[in-house]
Amino acid sequence: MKIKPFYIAPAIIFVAVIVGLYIGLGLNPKETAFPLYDQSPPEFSLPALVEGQPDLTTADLMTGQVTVVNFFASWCAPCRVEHPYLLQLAEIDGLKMIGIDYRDTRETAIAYLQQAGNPFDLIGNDANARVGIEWGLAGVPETFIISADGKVKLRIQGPLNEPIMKRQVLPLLEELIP
Amino acid sequence: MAGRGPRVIAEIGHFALIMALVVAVVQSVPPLWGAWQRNTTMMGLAAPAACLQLVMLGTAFLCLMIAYIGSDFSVINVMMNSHTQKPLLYKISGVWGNHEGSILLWALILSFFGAAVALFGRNLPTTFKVRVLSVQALIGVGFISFSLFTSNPFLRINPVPLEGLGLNPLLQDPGLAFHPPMLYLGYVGFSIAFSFAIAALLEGRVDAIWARWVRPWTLAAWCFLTAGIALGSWWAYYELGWGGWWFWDPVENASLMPWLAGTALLHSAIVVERRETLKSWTVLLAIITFSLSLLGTFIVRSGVLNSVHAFASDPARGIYILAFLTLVVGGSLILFAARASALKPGGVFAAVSREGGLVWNNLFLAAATGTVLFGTLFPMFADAFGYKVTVAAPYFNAVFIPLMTPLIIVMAIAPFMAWKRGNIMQVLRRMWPAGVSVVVAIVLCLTWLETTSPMALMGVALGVWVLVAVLVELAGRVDLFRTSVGASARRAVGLPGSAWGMSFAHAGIGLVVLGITASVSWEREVITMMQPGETRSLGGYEMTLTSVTPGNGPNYSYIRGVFEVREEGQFITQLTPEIRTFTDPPTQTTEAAIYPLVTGDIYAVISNAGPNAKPGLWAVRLYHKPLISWMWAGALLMVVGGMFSLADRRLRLGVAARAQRRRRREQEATA
Repeated sequence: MKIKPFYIAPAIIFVAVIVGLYIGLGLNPKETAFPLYDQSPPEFSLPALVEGQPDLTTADLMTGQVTVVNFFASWCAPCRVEHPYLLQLAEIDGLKMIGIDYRDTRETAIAYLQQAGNPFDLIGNDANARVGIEWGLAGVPETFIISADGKVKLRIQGPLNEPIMKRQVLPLLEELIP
Repeated sequence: MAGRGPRVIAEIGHFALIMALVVAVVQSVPPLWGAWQRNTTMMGLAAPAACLQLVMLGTAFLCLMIAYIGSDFSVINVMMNSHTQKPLLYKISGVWGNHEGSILLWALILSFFGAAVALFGRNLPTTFKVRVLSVQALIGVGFISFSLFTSNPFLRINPVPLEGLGLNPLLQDPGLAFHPPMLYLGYVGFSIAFSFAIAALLEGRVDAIWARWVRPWTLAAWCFLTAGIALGSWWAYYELGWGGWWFWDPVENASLMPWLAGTALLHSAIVVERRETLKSWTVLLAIITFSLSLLGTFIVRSGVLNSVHAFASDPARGIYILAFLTLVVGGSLILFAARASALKPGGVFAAVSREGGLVWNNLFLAAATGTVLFGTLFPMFADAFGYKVTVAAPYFNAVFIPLMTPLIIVMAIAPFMAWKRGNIMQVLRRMWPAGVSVVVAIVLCLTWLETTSPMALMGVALGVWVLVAVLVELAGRVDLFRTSVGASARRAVGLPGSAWGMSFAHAGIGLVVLGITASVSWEREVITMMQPGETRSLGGYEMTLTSVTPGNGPNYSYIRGVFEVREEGQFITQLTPEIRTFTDPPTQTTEAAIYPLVTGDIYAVISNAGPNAKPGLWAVRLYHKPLISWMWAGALLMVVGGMFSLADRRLRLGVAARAQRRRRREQEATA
């Protein structure tokens, strides 16, 4: 019986796919796969939350410092839940904290931060969700960690909590901050 | 509360499912052996078993449905996915709105197609039919045991909970109630083409009759799959409130890949039928199409890829489907490698001819299938090697559009070509109205719409090219303008269904291309805060938010915004988008309000501005999406085309059957 290479090729390709699928079963795609991963964050420029301060722009994320970008809103209940973890992150030396106030009004956001404590070094006001859409936000809160060379390394959808901090956020920060 | 009587129903269903497995084994192993040994008793088991399997799975499915309708929460599956307060339609659609139920539906549809072959396949050669049914049953064994051993929908819980957890409100929607069954009818329908391919490899014979048999089943499956994909896309468009309709999500790709391969199969089967060539390729396509359906099931059910479709996933199930996939696809590809050379190829043919055009179709569709498969699986492969990547719309658009463009250009030309040898110059001369229309359309875009985007211009050109070509081709067939209108009309009625089918389906593609192009290129959006009484303008329309009022639906409460839409002061319609709050499970959904016009949809979504925003202020998103309804119309036209073609096939099958009977009579006479 003569077997032509054309006839065996599908079986060989299939074996490769199956091996990949088998390995893939053991991995968790949710942990890291997101469009911005290892990319520079999308360009933006937002007015500062507190009027009179300079605008928040992409350049503020590219200062050679490890940066946390947190999307929050005063009206968002899970944001209040995660707030203590943001305050905890703000204690870390060499970590820049940036807040983006999402679909919110200036007055209420400022009042919220005054009452709950302000973990942020800089705060932008994304009132019409323009930046949120560009970053591919599913909702608030969402937290991104950006390395010193300006690449997005982690995205956490939903509120930070103890397991996420222990397993994902803090180990990554230890790795990124020398 | 469900009483004692109905409770036993779930046990009957469970028993029927176990019996279905036994019957499937009987339907597969002995007949396959019988076909090999030419043992008629063994072979005789296949057809009755196929019908019995349908009865058993039908019973199991019906029992599960009764458990849902009667809210029998002693069944875990019902408890997890239903609720007494749910409208009846969603109690019923809840049956397949979850993993366990949808696998049962898969098996049921598989047995439905098997029984259909058993009942309507009278004029198939006996061994061939038996082999088809056995292969079908082997797949059935896989799926029924998957259901019984890893995803049993009939497991009970004690003590019985008083209330169920409810169905995800996003899924409580008529569009989605019918989306999974349609999709499954498509996926599983390709199993017949697969079984025919395996039987042909076992018999070592593929001929025109084989192609004639495969095509109607493939066509039917293709129609269902097209409708299923369109329904899903339409649901995403109006229910999710994002205004998008395709996201290149792995689960969407999982349905697109069998569609692309199935479309190629439809066309290559024509070449086998007419010219007795491309045989091994067509057999391979049939295997690949169904394999992609299985792969799609694996992707959806195992959670191996990151997807917005948050189906519950379980690694044990993943391993099971993967093992099954390996056996079925691996086995059939090894069989293909060993036997394909036995399928004798027919004559060669010219690249410029009808069959040449069909080969180009296959080439582009196969390449498109490959690129979608690659893009879908690449993140997983990269992950296996330690790299984290995502493949999103930019990749797919970059590879898919360049493949579809030549496909669509050829698609318009090929129907004008003669079989065996075509004359490209002669064909292009006949197509002059399409060429002129393309130029006119581009000039209109440049001047009237002031568009210079090359993508928009190309999309419009392609859409117009196909649509006008279809019209010209039809006009040529009925001798329009060359004879009297009456004579043309008579000729039109007399045209074979397959001619109409092709025209409709190709025109459908043209409409889809125009719909996609226009809705992407000329979309207007306004994202803003509004309070009642305010007006915003949106691409020539004035949208006034007149009121925002709360109220109650059947199993949810809502906040409804009322928009009045005016064009140049003239009242057009009222739009009422809603925010719906469900209590079981506690979820909020946004219900977009859409006013579809032939020229474009006006689309409004309202959402909370946030509790701390100025009172009376609402976040609204308003879109104008030109020609987007052409996309759904195009999909519908494709399905209608498929059905026309199917109607024609039945006649042709009749012809084939008569020819076969005549042959048999002659044989009997000579014997």
